[in-house]
Amino acid sequence: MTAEPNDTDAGRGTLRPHVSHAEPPPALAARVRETLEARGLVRSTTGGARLWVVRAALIAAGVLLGVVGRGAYQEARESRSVAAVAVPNGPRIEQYVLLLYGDTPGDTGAVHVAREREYGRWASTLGDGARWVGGHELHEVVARLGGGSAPADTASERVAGFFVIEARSREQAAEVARTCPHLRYGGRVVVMTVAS
Amino acid sequence: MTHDAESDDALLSRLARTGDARAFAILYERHTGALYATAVRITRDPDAAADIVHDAWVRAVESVHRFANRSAVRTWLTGILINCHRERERARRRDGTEEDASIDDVIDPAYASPLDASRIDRIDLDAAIAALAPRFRQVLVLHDIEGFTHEEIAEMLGVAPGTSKSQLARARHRLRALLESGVPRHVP
Repeated sequence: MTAEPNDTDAGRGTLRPHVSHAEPPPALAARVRETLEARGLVRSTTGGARLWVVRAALIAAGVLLGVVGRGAYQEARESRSVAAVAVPNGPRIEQYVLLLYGDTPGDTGAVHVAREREYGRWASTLGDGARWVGGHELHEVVARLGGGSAPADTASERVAGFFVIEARSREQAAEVARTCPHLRYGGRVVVMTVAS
Repeated sequence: MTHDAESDDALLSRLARTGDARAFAILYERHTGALYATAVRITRDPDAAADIVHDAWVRAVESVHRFANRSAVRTWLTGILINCHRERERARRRDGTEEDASIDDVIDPAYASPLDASRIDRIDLDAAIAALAPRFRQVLVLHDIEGFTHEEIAEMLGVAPGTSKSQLARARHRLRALLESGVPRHVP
């Protein structure tokens, strides 16, 4: 004979105060973070990378959207001093901005997130000495200032985002850009040097 | 609003959109204690527990865009943890390890009701739970210790709620028998 308890959820959680509770090992947090960062699932929180995201955003905003307010200009000027890094006895590492033009209409929700992750994985595994420094997806144009008869923003001209990378040469930067997944989605990628 | 005051749902959304490391750190801090405690109870092995908690977090972040708000974040994470555990168990069994020991099908209704553990020694109770067959220990841990409903457990395990209930009844029956007969005090 098989009998079942009548009250469906009676006793739920009642043993909790009477059993031992193990604490997770402190090293586990770092192990999980390392795996997530290596797979490009979580952004690195190193100060340099964060700072570069902010600076690169200001540079891109200034270059692309015509915003040349004093603050952005000063940030851009400040960033010039660190836009190139000379490695002792090695090639000169330069920074480049990859501007991503165009977007896929209707690319929303889970599809959009999956695509973001694909871009993130690509950015975290550039290889051959090239390195992801920062980047952001860009959304709406808030304002267009100056420039007289600048054309209205259209889907095909929209700047969807940007990456800042380090590479050993212009050729390598262009080579990296050719592998960017944005091209597979019909977008365009423009590679620009950062003033140094 | 600071990150710390944000709901789990808002933090998950931020994590999905931007890979925000701070959002992940807060979610990790909020939920890993419970996940690890559950993992230790189910696996009886602290090292294996750390492995499945690691796997569960990685899988959760990989699939964060599939979180559909149908359940609490903790329930969703625990479901992923259970799946990671089951996958490891399947791999282990393919290596020739024994599967669960079978137990009686006959259940005395009095033995299937919730336990009053107030007079049971904590070490004896830990040992008796650890001595349960894995599939019964799993349901008992999720329901009687972690406080999940049969509906939630059924979804985590991919079974009907009735199966969760019957396995819990058997688990309690076996637990009572172990406590009455005495079990070796060997727990992780």
